[in-house]
Amino acid sequence: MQEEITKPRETLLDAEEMALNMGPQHPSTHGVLRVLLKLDGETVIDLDCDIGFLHRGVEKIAEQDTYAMITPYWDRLDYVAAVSGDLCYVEGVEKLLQVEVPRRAEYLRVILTELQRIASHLLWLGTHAIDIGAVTVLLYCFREREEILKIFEDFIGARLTAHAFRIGGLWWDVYPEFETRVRDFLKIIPDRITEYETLLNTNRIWLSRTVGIGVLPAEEAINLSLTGPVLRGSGVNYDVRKAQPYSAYADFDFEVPLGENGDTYDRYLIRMEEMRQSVRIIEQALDGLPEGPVMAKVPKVIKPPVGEIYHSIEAPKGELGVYLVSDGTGKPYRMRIRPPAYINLQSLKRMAIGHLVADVVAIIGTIDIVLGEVDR
Amino acid sequence: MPEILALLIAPDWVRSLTGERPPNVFWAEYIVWPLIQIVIVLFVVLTVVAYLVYFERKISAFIQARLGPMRVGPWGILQPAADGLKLLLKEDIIPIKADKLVFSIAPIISVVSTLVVLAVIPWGAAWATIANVNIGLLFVLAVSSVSVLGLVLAGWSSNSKYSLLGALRSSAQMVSYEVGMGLSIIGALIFARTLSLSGIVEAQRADGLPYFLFQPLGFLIYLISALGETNRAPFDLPEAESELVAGYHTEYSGFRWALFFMAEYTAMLVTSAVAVTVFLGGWYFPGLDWIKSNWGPNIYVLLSVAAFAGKIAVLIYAYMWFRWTWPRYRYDQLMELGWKWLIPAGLANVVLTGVWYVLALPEAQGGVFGFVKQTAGRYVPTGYGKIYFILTGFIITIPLSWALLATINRRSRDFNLHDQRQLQIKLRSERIKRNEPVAE
Amino acid sequence: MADDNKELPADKPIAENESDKKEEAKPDATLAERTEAKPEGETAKPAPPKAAPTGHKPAPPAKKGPVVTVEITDDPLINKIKEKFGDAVTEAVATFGQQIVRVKKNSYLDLCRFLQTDEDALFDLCADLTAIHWPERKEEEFDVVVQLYSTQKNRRLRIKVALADGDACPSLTALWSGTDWMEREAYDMFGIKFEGHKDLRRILLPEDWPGHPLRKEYPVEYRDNEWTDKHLQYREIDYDTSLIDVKYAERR
Repeated sequence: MQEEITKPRETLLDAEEMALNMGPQHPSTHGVLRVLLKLDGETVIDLDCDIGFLHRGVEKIAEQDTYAMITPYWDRLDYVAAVSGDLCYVEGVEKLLQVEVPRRAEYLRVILTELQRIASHLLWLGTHAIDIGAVTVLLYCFREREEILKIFEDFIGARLTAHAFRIGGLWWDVYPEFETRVRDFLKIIPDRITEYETLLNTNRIWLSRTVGIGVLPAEEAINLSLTGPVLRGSGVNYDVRKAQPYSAYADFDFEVPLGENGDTYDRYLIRMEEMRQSVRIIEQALDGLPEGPVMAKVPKVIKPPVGEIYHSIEAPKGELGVYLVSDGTGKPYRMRIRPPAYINLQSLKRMAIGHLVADVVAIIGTIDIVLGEVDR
Repeated sequence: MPEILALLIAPDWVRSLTGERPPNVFWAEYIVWPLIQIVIVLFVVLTVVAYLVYFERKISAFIQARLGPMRVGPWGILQPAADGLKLLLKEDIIPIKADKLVFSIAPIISVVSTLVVLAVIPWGAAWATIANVNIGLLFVLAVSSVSVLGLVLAGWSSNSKYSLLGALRSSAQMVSYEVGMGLSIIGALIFARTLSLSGIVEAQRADGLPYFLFQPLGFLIYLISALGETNRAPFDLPEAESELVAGYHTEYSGFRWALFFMAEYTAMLVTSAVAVTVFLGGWYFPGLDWIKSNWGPNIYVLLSVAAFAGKIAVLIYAYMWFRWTWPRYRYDQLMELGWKWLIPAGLANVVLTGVWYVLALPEAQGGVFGFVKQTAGRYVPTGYGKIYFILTGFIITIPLSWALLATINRRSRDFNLHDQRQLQIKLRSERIKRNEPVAE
Repeated sequence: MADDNKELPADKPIAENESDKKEEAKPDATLAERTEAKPEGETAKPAPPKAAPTGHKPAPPAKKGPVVTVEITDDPLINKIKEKFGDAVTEAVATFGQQIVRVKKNSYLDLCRFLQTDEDALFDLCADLTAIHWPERKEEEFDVVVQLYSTQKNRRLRIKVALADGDACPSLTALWSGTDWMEREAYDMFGIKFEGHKDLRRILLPEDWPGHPLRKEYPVEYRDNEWTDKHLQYREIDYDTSLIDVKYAERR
């Protein structure tokens, strides 16, 4: 009996397999991901990801550009969390240059990055819900995300690819109303998160679509190099903000929510809780925002010493890392981006096999990929 | 306006047109007046369908904190006209590898089969119904299930895998939900003792109460099955845009696509109309008889039509509300709901209703309580009988069926979400410990 | 890496030489701290809440010098590795407080297996795997760089292995299945073959793309090639066709 169950499906049912080409033009592959599915009925028996449709060769371009010129490319990697990308790169270069960033700049960076994390998670929630069929959540999420984008727009001038940071700090200090506007936003967002949770948390359909879907045990998740909420959903306590604090994160009191079962529902709960924790961090950062300059003394021509550095931050999607090798000139000899979405996407195959086509969509959503970052 | 005026004097006006006098009224009653009715119903229904799309967009917009169509006409009320024009003028694309003949007739099958049902719907009292067929309900169920043929053919002939998957899903789904739908109606038929739709309304008028009070479980099953039958969310799997792009109509464009859209909304209208007829008292509302005797028969007919439309509107609003609130079921969960929950519940409902009814019969007919008495050739519940049926329906049938279903499905995965709830409770209790707001 | 061992010229201008060394405040600052600070299983201790972080200053104002790449001598794990692998470990240095171990190709897989399973190391998460091209370094043109992280010990380690062009590198997929796509990318971008990788295909670029872009000899403006000719049937740049044709012909 046991053997019969563990037999591959296609030998049990003498049916033809169907190859289904999902993407690159498909509403719920979050961009230009192409997934080749091998189906038995609607059950996935094998899949292969075809990526690279958005490959722009950022790592190659970086070898031709000066250190300051590279920063905007980082906005366009994970374009829904541009600020986080910036933070990773500028901190990496600052480490290489051994520049001390002013405290005020560090705090503002934390505020902006955490706002970006909320914005990114809101977008994730909306698209994930729309994948599962709850369309309305997306519009609610965009309503709140809009507020964050307005704050960004007034500070940076851009809404999506917000080029927020410069090597050495911030280009400008924030505008006078910045603090009140962020505080206004912080006032509304916890209630709104509660509102989304009322729509979804105990919704029977939502539960049956997410509970037990795409389960990854902790060991497997670590072995797959997963990071971010996907790893923490399996109960592994690894958050770069806590484990190896960068910027000013050591100053703040927050918690890292952990899941137990490692399924789609746990990852959903974790991201919801992470938004609340981000609110806590921003509040503390605003309360303790120091006065002072926002830009360190950085040479006009940035020429880091010969050496190499690996720096990673906790981006909304996971550990975003930069590996910079400097040969002493004004251009990096090699810049490697460690893209969390790219590496997390590997787990799609592990998670989706045995589930139905509809679950593939839900699992792509729960990994939270952005193809700009996957393809670079 | 001429249609309205015609209505006010019909059918006497039609008789004067044909020059016939009762009882010899063949042309007036069977040819001319039905033709007029058909024209009116088609015109009204198709306009309403176009506006249902508009209302759907508006309602979804209001649910989602936006405005919806605002540009074409005041508040966008001319949007349906603009949409229709656009769809008519759009290029009609037939994929090269599609089966052209089947591809062309599939949307027609779909839309015609839903429109045919309109013929037997009792739109209002007396002369407002086109055809009072004595097996009306069977006719509705039979013809409306033909529309799935259109979807299957569309999916198959498109020669696209997404279309094919959508067609497969829709055929399996419609077949499954048809059964639940049929079973849910039987309970009401025990009370009505007729299959004629007008007869069911008349029965509710005679009993004085709409049947959803006697048949709460049946009504619930019907509503859920009707959602599944019409492919509306949360059962919109055949066209689940996040999985199958657009399901069976992925390859359709222009007016053929519009026909599918029309079929979907007409089907929504039809299933709501049947629900209203069978469970909500049809065109009847308390006080209608008084209006008839005091305000005249024409006002009475028009008001009955208005009541029918109002009840349908409520149901359709509920459909839209569901769609924009809930996530979508997965295919296997949909089947599970249909076969493991709705069909057993429907069977249990039939059996239990039968038992209650038999018990309520007069002692002469083998009953116990005698809550049903025979008046004017049919059984009508007495005052106690009404209370008895309502109480048995709500207090005994629903919990008993629930217990039965819970026993059947106790090992189902979707039923056992308890462990997952625990995690959520844990997170929540941690939040309470930290004095943070807890979700409702 | 050869360049790492070069002492930086003393007159190299480095900004903020006099300021406090921020690195000291971080857990990955000094090696001794890194290995001892975190007890097992407690990777994410909540940071001590600070009432008024406004006046926060790291306690020891340390003098910061130029980049120092130092030989690691006092780290128990590194010493253990050196002991176990002997000559195979050609270099064990720390730069910017980050530990690097360079290993010979033959012992690379063994070292990684040791690092994954040894109870002092337990590097269970392979954060990154990439390569660097050093065309001027004959016979070992490529460095494969692996960033390891231990979720239990909360420490990082960088492994490097040098390869000649055309050499196959042992694959790590058997140890960390997450390296699958990273190795595919390194193969795609550098043409490094990974021995033991079950599914070594190009990942970001098309299957039949000519060349490996992150090699130093691959030009940035390399627009038209066999692939674009075959699949796109048009030239992106028309205005300078003579030059491009010459270059294109040369490359072919």
